[in-house]
Amino acid sequence: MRRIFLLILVILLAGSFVAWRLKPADRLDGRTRLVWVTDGSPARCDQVAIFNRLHPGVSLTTDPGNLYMEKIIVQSLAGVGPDVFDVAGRYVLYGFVEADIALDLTDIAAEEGFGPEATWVSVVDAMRINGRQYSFPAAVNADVIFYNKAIFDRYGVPYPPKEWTWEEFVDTGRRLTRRSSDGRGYECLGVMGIHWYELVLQAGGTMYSRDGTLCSLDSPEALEAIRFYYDLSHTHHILPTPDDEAMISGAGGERANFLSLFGTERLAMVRAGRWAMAAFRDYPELRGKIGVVHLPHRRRKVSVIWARTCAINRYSRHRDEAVKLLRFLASEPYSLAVLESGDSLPPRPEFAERPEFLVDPQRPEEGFNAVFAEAVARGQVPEVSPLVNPLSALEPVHEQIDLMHSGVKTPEEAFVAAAAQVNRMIYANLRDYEVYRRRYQQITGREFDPEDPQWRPYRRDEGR
Amino acid sequence: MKMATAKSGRRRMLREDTAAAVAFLAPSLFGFLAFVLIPVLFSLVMAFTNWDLTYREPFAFVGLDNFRSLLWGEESLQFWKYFLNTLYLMMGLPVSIAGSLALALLIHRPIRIGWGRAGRFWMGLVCLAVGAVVAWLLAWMGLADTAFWVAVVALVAGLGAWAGAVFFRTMFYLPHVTAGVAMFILWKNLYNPDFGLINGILRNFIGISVRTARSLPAVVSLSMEGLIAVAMLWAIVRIWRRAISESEGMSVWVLLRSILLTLAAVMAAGLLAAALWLLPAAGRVELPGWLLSVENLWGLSPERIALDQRFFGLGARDALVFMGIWMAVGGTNMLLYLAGLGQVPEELYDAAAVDGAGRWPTFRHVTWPALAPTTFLVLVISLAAGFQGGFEQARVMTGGGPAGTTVTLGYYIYLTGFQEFRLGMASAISWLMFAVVFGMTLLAWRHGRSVLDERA
Repeated sequence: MRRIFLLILVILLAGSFVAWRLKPADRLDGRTRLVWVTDGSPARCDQVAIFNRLHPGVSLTTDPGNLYMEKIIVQSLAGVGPDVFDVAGRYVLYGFVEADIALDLTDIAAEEGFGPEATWVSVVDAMRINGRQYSFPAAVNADVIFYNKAIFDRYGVPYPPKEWTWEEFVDTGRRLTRRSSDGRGYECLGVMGIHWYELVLQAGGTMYSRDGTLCSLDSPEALEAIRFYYDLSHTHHILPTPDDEAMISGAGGERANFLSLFGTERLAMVRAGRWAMAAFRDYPELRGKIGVVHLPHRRRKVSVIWARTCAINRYSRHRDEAVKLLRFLASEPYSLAVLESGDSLPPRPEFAERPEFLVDPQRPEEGFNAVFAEAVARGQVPEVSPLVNPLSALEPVHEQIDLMHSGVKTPEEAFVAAAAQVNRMIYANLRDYEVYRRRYQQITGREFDPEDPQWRPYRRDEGR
Repeated sequence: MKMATAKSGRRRMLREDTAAAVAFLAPSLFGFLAFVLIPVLFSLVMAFTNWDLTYREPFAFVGLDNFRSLLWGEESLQFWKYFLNTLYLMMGLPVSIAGSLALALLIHRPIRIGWGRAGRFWMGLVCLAVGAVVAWLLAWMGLADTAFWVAVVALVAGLGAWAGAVFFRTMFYLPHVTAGVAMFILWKNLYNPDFGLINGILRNFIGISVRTARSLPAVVSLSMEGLIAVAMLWAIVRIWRRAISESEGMSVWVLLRSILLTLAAVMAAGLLAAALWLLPAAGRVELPGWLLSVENLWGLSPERIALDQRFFGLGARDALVFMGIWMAVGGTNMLLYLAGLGQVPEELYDAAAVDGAGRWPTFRHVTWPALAPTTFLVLVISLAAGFQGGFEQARVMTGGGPAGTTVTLGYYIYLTGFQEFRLGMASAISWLMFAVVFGMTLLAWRHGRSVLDERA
């Protein structure tokens, strides 16, 4: 028995020793090891190689397996978080800032040259929360419409103009959408990916009031937008309903499918950012057949900007090296690498305005790059309210949109209910938390008063 | 002197044994303390705090505030809605427990066939051949989904005839050892309202029913389908009578014939149901939206805690219930019943046979009471698992939607703790869930023990 026990003990100790030896060291061949949580895009390998070449003292490695916000927060609090991490949009940045994981970069960025002046004016809000800078863009995308010229030619539909209205968009979509002969599927889909929020902005509406203290999805403009969104699917039948999307998407997910549908000439138009070009280049049959125009507009010509930004972990032991990475993101070599990969637009606008990008002699068929740059220049980052967690606020909106698609509510009823629910959350936050009351006072210049008539509709759950 | 030496020797041995036991148990104990007991106690303390990783307010003990908020305060609508969702998903428990018992009864004896190994081989071959022909015919008629289903059933029956009960045991247990995520992705596709196999088969049934009804006078078609429905009942009664026979082993032929008859009868019942319920609508027949639909068999409103006729139907909740039954029927419960059946003394069956008891009385008065402790254990385990379940399904298949109809208490804890980072509130939900599970178990324990005592 004693021998068996000793044997097990020795095996366990040996295993622990091996595990300890295999643990990645802080320094690798005399270089500081820097961990960057980012996606597994092939473009990232080139970017990392360039960084490592430019910074001999640092060994940058990527970790695509821990992209979830909750994982990064929990790992960081446990002391095993990454040094630098990607932030998938402003909503997520808000979460990192609230959790006190993202380092406040305002002063460092100003010194190191990656402050707000180093990037697009329209993108600045993607890296700032409550006036402080917490990240710097790594990739900038604004939505445009990609269209397949071959499908337009097949059905004799003229190519869309660079700027077009909702009515022109519907007319074009109707002429391109073809049901299959058995009526169960589509021979050709008109458009995929249209997002309700972008329509709200195009209609002149907003998700929150100007000061961010109230949800304004019940405004006439927002109601017009959600009605249009509903009609695209249920009246004009040019945008797949959730049922249709389930039919179209298999295990590969919607995104994989719209890329393949577009690549195989079964989808006429799709809303996406420049990132889609990297995927479309994998379809040689699409060469020369892609066109790009702006999103259709109503009252405003606007696209939503989906910027992937990079933040530094407040608990990182390699803060200086992490700052070097963010400085690299604002540099020329990085911007040129981004442009070459077709991944997105670079953080610095001047590189996206160079003639060799606008008309790339290597890729003359991609002569539409100016549209991407214009879309970013006039784009808008998703709004957030300083009084509610933006991800939590989206939940009732999505629930109401589900009910709308299920036929339980009209589009107008759904958005009025969504606005009321978000406002109830804002009211509850103001009532319960001092931090929100302070912010409210800073914004409005007056103290939060629960007796104020504007809050009366949202107080109905009190005392239950 | 000798006695004293022996005593001290025993003491030394005891000391050594104790030391060895502690040494062996230490890693496990350390793991239990570090990863179970301490976190559980920690979460109990946290349930009375406002612990929030987003630092919206200074950390403080808030007493029972979290529980008040959940039970009748600000969070109560969500909590009770998700509690109802959890209860709804547990609706399949009685069916899955009964199914596990039925399967265990079917396969706990060796399947025998009179013609030896050659007979089994030919029986399997006949199953495969008949299945292939029927599937081909169905495919030729344009009923591809049903053809696929028939082919799979024939394949299982054929292989079962060759390999016997062990094959069926393995097949029934297979969903339990397969990775959950893979199962959920598979079922997500099965439930696809347009190209999924389930709606495909329903569409086939409805198509046949519509064609039959159009080509024959209504009275004739309904009468025919009525007759087939009676045959279905007969087949089910037959399979049960055979299944619960404890005096002889189940013959392959009886098993296969009964299964095939049941399948045929169920298909006929499907036709009848389609003709009776769906045709009068005389227009486009709406198939269930499954994972995309907020409808449910209780008619629960997705927004309020209320019943509303508009929401009556088959939707995401029901889809998860059906899938849960499929996954649970052949799982651990079946193994427990198999073990339980193995413990029933043969003398009891002999005595029942001597007394002239038939199959049903034998099952009712011998097998079922003998399985009471197993049923009790299965019930307790299932209740606890049911209250804690639903997380993986929601995460992989529905994201909690549509309109929050598949958010269970387990998923609610995750959303509150790791999406909203309100760890104090998430701990409170966990402890409320624990209280419910504990209460239900206690109730089942007390009631079960009194029943067991009576029977003893």
